[in-house]
Amino acid sequence: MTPLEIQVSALGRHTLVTPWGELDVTNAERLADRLAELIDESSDAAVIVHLAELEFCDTTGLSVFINGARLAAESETPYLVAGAQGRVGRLLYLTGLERASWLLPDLEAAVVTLHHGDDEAQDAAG
Amino acid sequence: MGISLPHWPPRTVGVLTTVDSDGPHAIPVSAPVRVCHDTVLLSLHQARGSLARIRVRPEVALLVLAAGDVACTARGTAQVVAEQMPGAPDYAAVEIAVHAVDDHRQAAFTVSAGAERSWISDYEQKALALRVQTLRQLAVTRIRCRVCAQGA
Repeated sequence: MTPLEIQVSALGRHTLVTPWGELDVTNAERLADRLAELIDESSDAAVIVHLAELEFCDTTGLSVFINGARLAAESETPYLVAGAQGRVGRLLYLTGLERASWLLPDLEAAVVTLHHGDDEAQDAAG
Repeated sequence: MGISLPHWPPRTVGVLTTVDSDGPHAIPVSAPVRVCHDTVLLSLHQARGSLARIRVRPEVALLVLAAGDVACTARGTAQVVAEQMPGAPDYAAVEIAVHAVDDHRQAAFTVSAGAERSWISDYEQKALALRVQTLRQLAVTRIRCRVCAQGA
């Protein structure tokens, strides 16, 4: 199993959270706590979770992203999850979560959504 | 936005076409990374003739056929953005700025899979995975630069 690493960096004035490795019941709480902190600390800047480096995610992991969306909505923090690939992307598709408004296909679409709204993001996503 | 590259699966094999005085040359390329709607990154071995040709004539075409009814040719200009990739000094990172996307999808059928392969060398498979990871990081850097340039 690839251990979970959580990288936090700036994307312009926004916060980019990149989980690396595998996310499951053994480590989901760590990511959940970190997301809660970042959402709490954020003002009007967004928290973007970039999933491109996530190799595996189980349903506990999915609940972290859903809970993040709930916390962000409560604190009116812009929140997006983007860039799921391979197995993680298929899980999002199978669970129907890909239709969530905060879930986008890639980082470019997330940036466009933050700056221009949903319609242009759909164009960027192709 | 005009140009709109589709998304393709991570393990996609593309076909990169370059040109020189002898005409076109087409080679398979492993796991090209879609950066955004008009940019692609890929790695090329230093010994590849395609890499040498790009330096002289950067006009390229990248054909992608993949699961999810992905069927397109991205035409654009290639440039070497890293002469040696971190952890893979025998490979250069190449960025294609896409000027046009030819959509080959047809109403009569869907493309259900691209080229499939079975790895024999674990080492080479892991090496490719590392190069792709590097390209994805480079892709994030590209997006980050654009965001900063927009002053956001």
